[in-house]
Amino acid sequence: MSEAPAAIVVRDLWASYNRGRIEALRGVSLTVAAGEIFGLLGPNGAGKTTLLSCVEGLHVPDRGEVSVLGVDVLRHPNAVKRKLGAQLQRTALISNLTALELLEAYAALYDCYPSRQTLMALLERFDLVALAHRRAGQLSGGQQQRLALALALVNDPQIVLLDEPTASLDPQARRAVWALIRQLRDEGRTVVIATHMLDEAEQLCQRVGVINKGRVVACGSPAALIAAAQLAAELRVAVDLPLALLRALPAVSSAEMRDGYALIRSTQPEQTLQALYTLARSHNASVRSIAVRHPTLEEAYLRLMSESAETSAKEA
Amino acid sequence: MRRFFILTRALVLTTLREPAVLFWNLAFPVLLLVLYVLIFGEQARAGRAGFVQWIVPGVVTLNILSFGLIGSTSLTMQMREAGVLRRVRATPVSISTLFAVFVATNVLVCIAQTALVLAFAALAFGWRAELDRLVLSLPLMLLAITLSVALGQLVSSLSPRFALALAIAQVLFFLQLFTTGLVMPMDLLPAWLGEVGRWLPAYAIGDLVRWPLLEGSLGAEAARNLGLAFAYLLASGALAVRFFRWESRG
Repeated sequence: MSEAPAAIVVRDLWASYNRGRIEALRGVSLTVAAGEIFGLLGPNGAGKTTLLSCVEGLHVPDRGEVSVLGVDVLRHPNAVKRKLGAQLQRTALISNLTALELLEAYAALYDCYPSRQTLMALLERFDLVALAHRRAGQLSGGQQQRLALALALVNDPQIVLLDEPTASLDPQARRAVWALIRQLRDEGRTVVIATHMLDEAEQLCQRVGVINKGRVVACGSPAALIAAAQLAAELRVAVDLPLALLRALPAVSSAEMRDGYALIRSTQPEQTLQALYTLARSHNASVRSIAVRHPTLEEAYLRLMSESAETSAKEA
Repeated sequence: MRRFFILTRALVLTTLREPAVLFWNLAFPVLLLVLYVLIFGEQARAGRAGFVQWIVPGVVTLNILSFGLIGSTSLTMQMREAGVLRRVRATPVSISTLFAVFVATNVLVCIAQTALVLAFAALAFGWRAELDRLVLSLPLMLLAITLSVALGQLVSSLSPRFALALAIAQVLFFLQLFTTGLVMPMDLLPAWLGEVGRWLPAYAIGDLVRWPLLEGSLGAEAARNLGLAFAYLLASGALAVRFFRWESRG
């Protein structure tokens, strides 16, 4: 199977603020494949927004390379901007213009002049048709966020960069935005999301780059990151067997009794379960119920952050 | 050009929908004229009618200068401080196009302001201007408005924050008000200050607006004033584009 072509390539990117006094990115390298939803995950101040800003041509890096669909951002910023749709962290809209007027004005910024019908269809997609003639300043936070997303698509971009697209949205609205982001991918667009919401990254992204203190500390699919973190799954079992025997099962790191259930932690849950059934049969014990909780991206992320903090401390 | 017209229309709409902007830029100049006429009109040696003929070009000049330097910075600075310009920067629009849009928007608002003051003066106080004087005035007024707005945009470009832009604009406005013969005769100034005043943009703006309306001519220093106005216009436009800021600092 051939690899998907790269939509965004970042090589050894260094960026700073205040004339180099604040280092925001320290040698970031990563590749975003065309057609995927890629997540930039990290705590506040990790460098996610700076990285997006460098790709968007809003921040000039100190050194390194950024290319979008093979075009160098530093050499040809405008050519790159035409291919990108952007939604910045702060939703900044001209509050006295209506949703429709804003779409028309932003399209003009890209030298695009879609018909009114096309603009209304875009508003329809974001459930904003009823608010087409309402001024942006009169919209709720969630409606403004949806309008900002609509503005990111006004130039029909191949790549969409979204900085915390669901911040300030209620759970229902978040899920609606997630559905829209999946739609963008299904249309063949590449989507990059900067977020610190782990469920968002786990639900949406094919791959995630974890950034901390300006460095990429891990990159891969959520499943791969969880596997790489070598975290134990939790098996909650109702079985009458002594804990000592359960602790001796393969791949088990610990076992304890809690609320009448045996709580077994295993790095290889399938192997442990097979062995548990065999053990139960040999002791004439029955396994009355089993619930398996696999490790989450959040746990893997926390492990990565703690490892990253240890590495930084050693370097210091 | 289509992009320029759509963006200018959008900014004109947003300006006209702002109640504070409407008051300060459209209602306030008219109020100022009313106050001048009511307070000083009856005491003037030339009588109220003569006073009106004399004060209207002066009020128009002051409005052009204050709107350009102080009023026109607001739109740019507010959009910058709200983060709108940062978002606009993510699009391929050029600084020169954006600058042209800001200038055009403010010039249109200032034209509306000037037209309103002149219309009100004519209807309420019987101000009269012969057609040839008006025809002569229009291009010069347009030049004065564009220059004043370009100066305001230069202040916006050079100021990292809105508060600083307003402070700089006000200093420039009042400094020129008192050194270029707009509110007090230049004979009262020390000779060197008078000479400096004659080279400031407000001097050219004042003469270019007042002479045609008052005297029906370009004035004795027309060529010099036109040269000065164009030089300041080109320089302030070029510098405003060169130092254009997308984001506020601090």
